[in-house]
Amino acid sequence: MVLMLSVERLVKRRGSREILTDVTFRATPGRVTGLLGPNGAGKSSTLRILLGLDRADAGTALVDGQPYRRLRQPLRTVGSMLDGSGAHRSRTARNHLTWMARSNGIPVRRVAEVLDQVGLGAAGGTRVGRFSLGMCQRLGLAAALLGEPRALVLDEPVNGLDPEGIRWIRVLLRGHADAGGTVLLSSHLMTEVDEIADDLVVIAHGRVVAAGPIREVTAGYPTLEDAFFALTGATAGGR
Amino acid sequence: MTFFDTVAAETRKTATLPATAVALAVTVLGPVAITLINAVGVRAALRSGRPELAYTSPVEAVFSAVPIGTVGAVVLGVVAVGGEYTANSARIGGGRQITTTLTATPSRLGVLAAKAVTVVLLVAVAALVVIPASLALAGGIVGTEAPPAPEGVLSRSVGAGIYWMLTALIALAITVFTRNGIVPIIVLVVNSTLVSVSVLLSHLTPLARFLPDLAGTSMFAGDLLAFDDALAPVTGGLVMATWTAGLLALASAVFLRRDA
Amino acid sequence: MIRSCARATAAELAKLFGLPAVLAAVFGTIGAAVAITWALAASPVGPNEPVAVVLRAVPYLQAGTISLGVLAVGTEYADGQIHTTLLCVPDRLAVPAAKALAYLAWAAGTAVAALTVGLLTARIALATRDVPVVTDGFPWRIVGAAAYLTLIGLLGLALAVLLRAVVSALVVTLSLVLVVSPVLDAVTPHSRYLPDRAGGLLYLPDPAGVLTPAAGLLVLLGWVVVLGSGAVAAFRRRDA
Repeated sequence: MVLMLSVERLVKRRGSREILTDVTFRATPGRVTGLLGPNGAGKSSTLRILLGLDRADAGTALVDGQPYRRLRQPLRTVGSMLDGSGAHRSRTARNHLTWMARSNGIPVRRVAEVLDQVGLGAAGGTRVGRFSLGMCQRLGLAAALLGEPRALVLDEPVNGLDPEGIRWIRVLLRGHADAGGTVLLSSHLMTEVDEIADDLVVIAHGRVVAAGPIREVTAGYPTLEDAFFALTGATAGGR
Repeated sequence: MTFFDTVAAETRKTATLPATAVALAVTVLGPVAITLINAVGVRAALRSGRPELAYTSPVEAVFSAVPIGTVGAVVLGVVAVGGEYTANSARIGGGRQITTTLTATPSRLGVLAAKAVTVVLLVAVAALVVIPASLALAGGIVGTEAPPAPEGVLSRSVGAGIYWMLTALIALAITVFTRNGIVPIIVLVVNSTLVSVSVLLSHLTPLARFLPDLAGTSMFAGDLLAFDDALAPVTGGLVMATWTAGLLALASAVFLRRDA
Repeated sequence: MIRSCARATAAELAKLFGLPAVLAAVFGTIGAAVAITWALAASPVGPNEPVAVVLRAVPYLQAGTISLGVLAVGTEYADGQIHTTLLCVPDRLAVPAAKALAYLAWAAGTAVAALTVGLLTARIALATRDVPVVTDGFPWRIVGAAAYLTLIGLLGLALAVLLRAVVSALVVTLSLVLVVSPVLDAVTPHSRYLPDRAGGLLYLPDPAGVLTPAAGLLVLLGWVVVLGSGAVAAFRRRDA
């Protein structure tokens, strides 16, 4: 089964400021696509529109040819993580995942499974307010994996994770893509993207400045870091 | 760092919270709006020659509007402390401002005292604006048909202002205990309205008049009092002030001992 | 469509159960019902009939269901949970509908429990004062009071959708119902069309006899529909 995430000529304005201009890219099955850009470049805004949280002023963002808001059981198609845990601090982790499962008709046994999978098996009864940053991040990942989705959309997934957690997520995402799944992740950490991604979309000041397989994007530069500064710096200078 | 610096920091911090702006708006515009409605009612009642239908004078139209200002004062006291314990978005690790506050000013008592001073200042400014404005508005609307003003308008005005300040401080102290604004808001807002639990208790025991809100009400209520054998205004004010001081002392003790 | 709404409602019910503040509001309301009916029944100036005692307690208890309504929505906007909710249920109509249904279930249960416990308390308190208890038939007014308590909290829920914060929604709803409404009542007879006054006819007769209880219910439902549609319209238009 093929599941493609496609973003086509996306425009988003906040007040009079255009924060996304003609953003176009695809994330294809079997590959990890990294959305790379400095802070404030428009990575999160793009993902929020793709996930149906914000509206685009123009353009489309589709999951398998449909807008996210049209999906009936979205968690079974796209697992996503934005802003850490996304749980009210006074809930337990288990309650948070249970209501999410109920909302998409996912069997409740999945809650214990994903908690174990992300290493929070012992913390299911703990209130989210007592979690560390890394634990919140793991809970967010558990929520993304809950519906066994074919696509994963993750905003800054390695934020707050310890080295062991970072390696764990790298293996997880690689395995997901190798099994034919689609992975789209955003990051401002070049070393991370360099090690995980197959395809790269570099975004700066709300525009896509380069896209393609990671070798093509970095061709002609000694490292990804050099490519990144050359690509994003050029746009900054050209404004 | 002097205490003055701490007060300046707290004033800036509290005054720039959006919730504070809303609370100040409620404290100022609420009584003015209700005075307006009341005064129109008084004028209509006087014109139709049936003054028993509404409050009898422009002055009562103002003092019956005090409860809505109390709501604003409660919110001010609650957000001054409650804002510290509200979490940031989870992305920043769910951090709370209290950590920043206490690393900037390690003296627990200094922080609490500065918060109290800030709240009192804000409420005092609001009261100085709203009470004269409401009196002028009510006088203007009812106009020459008004019966002669009753005695003691000035002392009752001061009393209402003090009542608001002490209520805000009580709200602040309770929020230190609960570390969360919801409970003090519900309890204090409900209790400052017609469905006051204190008034209910006053039917059961004469001791209820020593409760902080009922004692304080006698500072401004005059004939509007909802219960019998109230304390004299000055005594009532002193009783309420004693409650406030006691709750603040208890709050300081809790705040000193607790980990941030 | 119906199945996805049912799933969303099941999720909202589980969500409310997981919030300590909601459980505190439920048990707080029931506890307040005991304390207030006992105080009213013990008071020499209060009514001498259990049903009348409980009905006097209703204006106090509405703070409980209003808090439930505000918490059901307001807590979404703390800690970014609203994003999770909309990722699970992207349909912008299903989310408020599921929230309202889950609220109604919790609030109706709370109102019935609080009024029943209040009725028992009133009987016991009156019995200890040796007041003869007269019962004449089924207390329909208690049912009306439960309906009123349940519906008035929907206003809190709608205002929380509009204001997106627990504290401001609580302050606004409680001030409107407990402060502004009594003030307007002292000034103009048109105040009978305010939501709490009109809804109050479900358990107290209109002394002026202008509105019947059914008309009062319709007026209250009208307010709920108007505020609710405004809230839903805002919810659909806004970015999360």
